[in-house]
This record gives sequence, C-alpha cells and structure tokens, in this order.
Amino acid sequence: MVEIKNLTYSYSDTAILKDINLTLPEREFISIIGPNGSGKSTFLHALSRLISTQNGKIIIDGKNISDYKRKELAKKIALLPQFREVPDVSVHRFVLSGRYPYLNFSGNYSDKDEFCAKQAMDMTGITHLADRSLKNLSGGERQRVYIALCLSQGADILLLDEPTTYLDIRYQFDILDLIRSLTDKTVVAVLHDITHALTYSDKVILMDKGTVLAYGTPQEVASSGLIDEVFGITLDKTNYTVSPK
Amino acid sequence: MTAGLLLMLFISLSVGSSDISVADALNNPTALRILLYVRLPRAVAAVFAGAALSVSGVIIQTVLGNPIAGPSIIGVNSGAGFFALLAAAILPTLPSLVPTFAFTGALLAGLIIFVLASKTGAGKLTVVLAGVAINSILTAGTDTLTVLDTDLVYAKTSFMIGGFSGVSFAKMTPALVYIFIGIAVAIIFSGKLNLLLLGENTAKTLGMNVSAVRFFYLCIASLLAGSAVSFSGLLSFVGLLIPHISRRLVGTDNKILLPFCALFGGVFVLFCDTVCRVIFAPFELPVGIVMSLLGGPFFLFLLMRRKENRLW
Repeated sequence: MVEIKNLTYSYSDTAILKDINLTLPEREFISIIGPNGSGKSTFLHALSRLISTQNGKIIIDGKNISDYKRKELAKKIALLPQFREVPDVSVHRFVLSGRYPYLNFSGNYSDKDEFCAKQAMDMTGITHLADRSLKNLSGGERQRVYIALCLSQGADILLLDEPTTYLDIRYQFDILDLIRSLTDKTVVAVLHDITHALTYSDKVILMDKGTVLAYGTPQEVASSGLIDEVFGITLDKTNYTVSPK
Repeated sequence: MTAGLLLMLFISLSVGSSDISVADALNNPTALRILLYVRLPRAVAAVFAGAALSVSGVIIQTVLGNPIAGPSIIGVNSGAGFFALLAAAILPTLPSLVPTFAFTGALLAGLIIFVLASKTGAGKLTVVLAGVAINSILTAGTDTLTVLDTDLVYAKTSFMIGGFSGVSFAKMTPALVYIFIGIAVAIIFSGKLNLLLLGENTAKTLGMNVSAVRFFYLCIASLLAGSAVSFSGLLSFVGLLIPHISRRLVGTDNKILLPFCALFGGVFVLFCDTVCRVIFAPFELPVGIVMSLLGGPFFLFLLMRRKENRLW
C-alpha cells in the first residue's frame, strides 16, 4: 500500500504539486488523467524518488521512501518514464538490466535473473525479439520492451508515464490489455486518453494545476462532472466517449 | 584480437631501419640492445597508449551519453598535455611526477565538461563546443609556457604531434602501472557502465547512484588519458576512432567492448607507429600525423552519418 501525505513540490518558485493526500490500494490499476502541466509526471517522479519533494511523506509498506536504500526502493517501485532513451542494446540485455537491484558485488547476472528476464519477455510477448537491438524496433515493440524491463525488476508497484502515447490505436489496446492482465501488481499509469482511462482502470485520479480534484472509481469520477470542467469537453457518462463542449 | 596483438608486436620488433630476425637477436649483442632498449619500450608504449586512449574514449562517450565525445574532443588530452608541460617547466628534475600532473590536468578538464553537461543540462552539441573552448584555452596556456621557457619548444612540438620516439621504461613505468590498473578497474565494474547506457532516468530507477558512477568512471577515463598523454603526447582521434569501429564489430556490451577496445586500440597504434618507422626509414614520421590522417576523415564520415541519427 502507498500512502501519500501532504506531498508538495516546487520548482524555481512555481508550485507543481500542492498538498497531495492519497492512499493507493494494492493490486489495482489506477490511472491518472489531467490536462498538460497538471503535475502528473512530476507526481510519478516523486513516487519513484527521481525528484526529492520539499514537503510531505510517501510511505510504502510502512516506510518513508526517503529511508529506503536505492536498490531496496528499486525492488519496490519500477518506473516507465515518459521520455524513453533508445539505446543500441539487445532486448535481452535490456530486460536483464531490470535485475540490477538484485546483483551482488560480482556484478554477474544469476540463473534466477535470467529466468525473471525470460518470464518478463514471455509475458509481454517479445521473446522473439530477444536478440534485436532496441534501435531496430517499432514504437509498439519498444513500449513492450520497456514494460518488460519494469516487470523483470520484480517490483510490486509499476509507475507508467504515458505508456500508450504515440502508438497506433491497436497497439494502445494491446498495451492496456497487457497492463490490466498484471493483476498482482499495483499499477499507476498516466494516460492521455480519457476514454481509455475510464474504461480500463479500477480507480481514476483527476489532477489539475498540481492538486487532486477527484479520486475514485471511473463511475464516481465521471459522474462528478469535474472531467468536463477541467478539460473543457463533454463526457458521456455511460460509455465514456468524449465530444466537444 | 590477442593473437593479432602478439603478431603485430613480433612484426613491430623485427622491422625498422635495420631488420632484426630472431637469430640476430640471439647472436648479435647490438641487435639485442636495439631490441630491448629501443624497439621493445616503444612497442609497449604504443600498445599501452592505444589501449588507454581507446578505453578512455568508450568511457567518456558513455558517461556523457555523447557519441562524438572523446578524450581529445572534450579537452581531457590537452588538459593532460598542459599540466605535463607545466611539470616539465617547473620541476624538470622530477620526471616521475609527470603522469600525476597529466592525470590532474585531464581530470580538471573532464570535470569542467562533466559539471557543464550534468548541472546545466547542456545539450550534446554544447558539450562539444565547450570542449573546443577548453582545448583553445589550454593550447593558449601551452603556448604561453613555451614562450616563457624556451627550453620547452622542442618538447612542446613533439608533444603536440604525439609519438613514441625516445620513450624508455624508466620514464614511463608509473604511467604503465596506472593504465593497467585503470583498464582492469574499468572492466571489473563494466556492468555499471552498461546501465548508464540505458539512460539516466532508467539507471536511477533501477537503483544506481548515477552521479557517483559517472564521477568514478570520469576519474578512470582521466587517469587513462592522462597517463597515456604523459609519455605519448597528444595523440588525437584514437579515443574517438577505436570506440566507434569496435562498437560496430562487437556491439555495445562493455564487458566485451572494453577489453576488445583495449586490444584493438593497442594493435592499431602499434601498427601506425610501425608504419611511421618503416615507410621512410631511416627517417620516421611522428605517429600522431598518421593517426590524424586516418582519424580526421573518419570523424568527418561520422558527422555526415549523424544526419541519419545512426551514430551508435
């Protein structure tokens, strides 16, 4: 379970996250929606300790994340960043790197690490790409490889920053189905598409200007009318389609 | 590649102004002396300098995430050169301190670039431009030294071009030890370098202390480049050329790439140096000239490829 208490973060005098209080339950698919600049990515970066926040606490399994050692935290939380590098590295080696937090001083990957990497590749359907370089993959394939990296990391909490953006629509559904199939993980995903977020997730967080406006089941958040207000659109409350105001 | 290195060593030792066969070496004391005191130190110097600059190049490119970086591009070599000349000017009686000075200079230049690249979030091009600026400042410093201390003019000229004539084990032993240790340490911890390859955020979320690893490797790269420059002078392009060719040949896994680069760089520089000695024998070209003639066009080729964004 992740508890977020009074989380605040400012960058050069601009408040980006303002006093966020949330409790994220285990093994649910929680999506974050909100307009550009509402603090969604910053929120994920704070959860994964890529940035250090000025105020507030993030407590994972009863312990503040600032008290975790780097590798200990990496075993709890995995992040798919929004801006992803495309290194010239084979898919197998890339996914195997997810086992880095488990390495001992010798720095050699064990059979168990190989097993976890293989499992992650199987789950994401990229085993046939194992020897290809990330450079030579399509956008959809790369996305899967990145998710496989997060899975091989063995963390219970996956933070996914825009896992479907820039993908063809059928790959978007593939990725969403894949995420939803990870029923033993807590997934927090920033999603660009409001309809997808409401259709696929167990809980939805609506953010605007650094605050959480609404948090609940898709039904609750949709019926609050806040989505219409924040995005300046009309949301169909039954099938979650979006139309202009 | 190891066999290639041994073969190249054998060829390099036997050819020259006078060719020496195995039988000569065993029977003729003059030939043996040429071999032991002239050709062997020179061959060892070439191999170690080539290995050190190539490994240093791989490290700098990975740490900065910048394929057109390298010890001579970002000013690490000229930092080493300036400080080595400074040591020769102010402490001419202590030649064993030259590698230490060269390392300090290399590290200072490397740190300036490193801080610029990480703290200000400077782009890859900015880093290269900053390298040009640092190179020019240090060259001005080197010129000033030679104006103030005219005894250094000869030293400076041969230093700027780079070469191995006149090396001796006595002078370069400390530097060889540093290079050996530096390469060994770089290979032992190459898993961390591999993680840096995946990008800063990914490495961080996998639990690596990215700043510490970068700093650690930058020190090793400086140690390697500084030590090499202290006896070989400013050999440009080895640190850029060899890493790129090697990546094409063996891929980006640093566990394989670093040892391969060390061997390949050693063979390449030894080959160039042997060509320099033999081609106009008994006169010889400084090896730096030959390598720049090979490296310059290759760099231009890389810049043209950059357009297609397929540099690595």
